Amino acid sequence: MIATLALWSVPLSGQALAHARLVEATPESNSTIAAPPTEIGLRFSESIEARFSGIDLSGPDGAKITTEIAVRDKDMVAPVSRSLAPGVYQVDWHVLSADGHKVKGNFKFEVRP
Amino acid sequence: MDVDGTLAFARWVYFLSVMILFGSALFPFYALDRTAAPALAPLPRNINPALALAAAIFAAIWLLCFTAGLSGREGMVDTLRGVLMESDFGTVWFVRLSLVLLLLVISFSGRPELIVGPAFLLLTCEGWQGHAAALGLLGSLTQALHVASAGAWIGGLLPLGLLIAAAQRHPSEVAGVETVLWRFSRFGMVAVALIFLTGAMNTWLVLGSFPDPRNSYGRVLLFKISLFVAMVGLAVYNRYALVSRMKSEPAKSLGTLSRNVALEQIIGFGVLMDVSALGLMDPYA
Repeated sequence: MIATLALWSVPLSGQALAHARLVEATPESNSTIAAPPTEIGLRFSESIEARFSGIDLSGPDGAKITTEIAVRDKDMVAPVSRSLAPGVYQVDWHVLSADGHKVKGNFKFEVRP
Repeated sequence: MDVDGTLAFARWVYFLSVMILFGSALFPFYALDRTAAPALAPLPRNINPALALAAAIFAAIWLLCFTAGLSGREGMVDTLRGVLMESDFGTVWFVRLSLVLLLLVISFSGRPELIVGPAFLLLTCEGWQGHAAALGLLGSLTQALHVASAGAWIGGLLPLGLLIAAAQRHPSEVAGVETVLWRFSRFGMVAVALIFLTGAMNTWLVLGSFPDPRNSYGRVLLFKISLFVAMVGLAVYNRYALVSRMKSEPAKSLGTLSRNVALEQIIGFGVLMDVSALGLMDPYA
């Protein structure tokens, strides 16, 4: 019993996993870029399900810009079909991670030539 | 804490049903003799169809609740098709539903020994869904072993309790039950060791640290560990204090054993209630 408790109390140093977390975004969150992006790329901490994941891109006027996504393991990419005019854009993303949990978030970037 | 109560309840009833089916069907293989007296029969056979039916119904409710949680702008039917046909979850759900239906058929066959295989596979499905599914093959295997070991132990307590009750009614069976108790005790030690090792490994893989009591997930996990320790404590007391006194004080020992095994089952059901919610929670919320 004591051994059980002692073992469970040992400080462990593994890499925490479970529940997808956004680990990388292109364009970066809150960044300012000179050239309009040709795609929105997101990388997560674990595999995601394409069927229940997506990206919504909103322009400076709040209007939605249609985006189709492609998912490969931990990466989700949404090509931007038209050149974005200068302004602040918002990326709203949602994913269903491999552990069956929905995760969502958003960030902004600015296009300023 | 953001947990769908209906989903957690469905998972609890499902886990409870499948674990009792598995543990009680496995029990005769390691605890009983082929020549065991009629009073030393495992779980009454009419209970198996009820448990298998409960497992089937609550597996379906679990799937529907999971689907409802995903359906946004599209309807339930389209979302359900997406879950089953267009996601990695589909394979696990097809396997799970097929095995549940197989269990249902077997449970009516009057051959409970056939339940062991499909019930074991059903429990190991948990390694390929939930937090474990995101941890790679190691996480899947340890979680599968964790759940199967828990099922063997918790599910075995019900036939054990029934045997102790039978021995209380038929003093001539005391010697036979004492043998069963020693066998269950040896089996239980292996099961508990596996539960502990795989549980510790999964905690490491998911959290990378000792559960943090400052967040909901950590508190619920610590409560689960506390319940597990209480079960182990009772099992140790039963083995080293009560079973050893069976010969000198059979009636008194059996009475206390009966109460302790019932208490172990209640705590075990609490552990399953805990994990039913824990699997739906964010470890970092």
